Amino acid sequence: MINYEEELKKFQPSLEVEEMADAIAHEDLTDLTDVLRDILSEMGIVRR
Amino acid sequence: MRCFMCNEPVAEEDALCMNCGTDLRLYKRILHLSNSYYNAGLYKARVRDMSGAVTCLRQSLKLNKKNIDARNLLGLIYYETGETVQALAQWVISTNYQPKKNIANSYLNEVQTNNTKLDLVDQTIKKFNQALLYCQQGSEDLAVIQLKKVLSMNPKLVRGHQLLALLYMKNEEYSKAKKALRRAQMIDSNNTVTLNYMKEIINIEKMRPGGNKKRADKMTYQSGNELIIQPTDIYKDHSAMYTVINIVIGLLVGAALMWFLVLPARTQGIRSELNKTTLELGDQIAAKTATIESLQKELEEAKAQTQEAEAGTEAQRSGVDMYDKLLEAQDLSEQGDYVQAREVLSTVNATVLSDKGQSLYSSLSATVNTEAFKSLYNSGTQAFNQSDFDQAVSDLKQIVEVDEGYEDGDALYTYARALHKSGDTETAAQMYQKVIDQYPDTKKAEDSARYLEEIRQ
Repeated sequence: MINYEEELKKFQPSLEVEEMADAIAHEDLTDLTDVLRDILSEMGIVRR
Repeated sequence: MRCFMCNEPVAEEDALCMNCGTDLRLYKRILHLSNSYYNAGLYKARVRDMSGAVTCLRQSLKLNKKNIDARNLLGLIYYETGETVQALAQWVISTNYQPKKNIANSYLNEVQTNNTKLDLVDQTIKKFNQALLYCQQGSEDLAVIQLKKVLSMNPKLVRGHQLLALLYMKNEEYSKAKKALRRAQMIDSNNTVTLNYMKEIINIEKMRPGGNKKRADKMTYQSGNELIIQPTDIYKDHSAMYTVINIVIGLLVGAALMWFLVLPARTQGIRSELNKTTLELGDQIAAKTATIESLQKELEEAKAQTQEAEAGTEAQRSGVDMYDKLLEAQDLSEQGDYVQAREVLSTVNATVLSDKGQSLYSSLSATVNTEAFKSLYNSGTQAFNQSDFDQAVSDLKQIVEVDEGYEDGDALYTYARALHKSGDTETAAQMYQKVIDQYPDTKKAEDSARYLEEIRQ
């Protein structure tokens, strides 16, 4: 049985045009490649 | 391909970076996996499974944020599902990673250079957010109205259809909710929220008593922006009886219309014509009456003229008769029959005679009367002496009526004596009295007095 209130909470406001720049700026662009790079950096693999 | 550590170009088949010595095998596997997710996303996008495609493409970008194709496709999918700002964001990021030879540049140009389109997008988003706010405030009616506006401006906004369906479901308007969800499904066929709501509606309709029957009773379809609900299979049992009843009802209605609408107007028309005709006839009658009166007047005038003419004619005729009588009298006079001549002259109307005629009449009358009186006196006296008292009265009366003093009253006296003798004592008394009055101290007066005394006794 669908609960109206619960379902309504799942609906978030859409981004407005003015908010696009903030949205882009706050976009988490970290991918697995970045994670791998960070891991390798932490492991101390030095560039030849 | 470039090394992910030092960013130096490396060959596709190299396992290690020649520059920094980094093991590229894992990196390559990550790239391959990212591409696999991109392919999966592409397949899903082709079959309109937008939600699935977004998931795959996001996964692809989580593995390789520089997968330009995946990012551009993700932008496209966002654009197709009505999330324009998110689409623009992805394309901006895409152009940031690869500024040249990037189709995202054309997408951005198409959207951002069209100010009207951008304004429309902005308004749509604002209205959607306003509708969401209405829902949170409990104003579902306003939210529905606002959402309808949003969807008319941006029919591809899947979340808008879903929210509208949710509102309809809250109000138990399940058919409308289904309609909204179907529209959402046409855009994003495998959306979890859409499928979940649809399943809920189906379950509810199954549980409702007579729901199937209701579905069978009516047929609904969309015609533009309007929902058409058409009943089905209601008029199964049309029979001739209903047809006849309908015809009879139609005839009654027609008759009523005639009675209340047509007949009064017609009657009014007839009455006005009648009044008009009556007025015309009245005028004609008046004219005829006037004519009749004038003709009657003319007739009377003609009659009067005729009478005058007849009178004139009669006068002329009587004039001629008078002259005839005058001549007859004259003849009789010349023959010596003065008494007869006198009688003829008594019938003559001297007024119709001319002057000469009247003169002749006068002279003749004088002559005739003189001689006639003589003859009458002699015959009357002789008749008295012969005891023919009636004859004596007749003769002497003609004299006394004209001249009472004829023969110095002897005619009067003899007349009285004849009357006395004939038995007319009353007239005789009158004559006796005249003798006494006119001839006093005479013998005939004394005798008259004596005879009068006898009568009175």
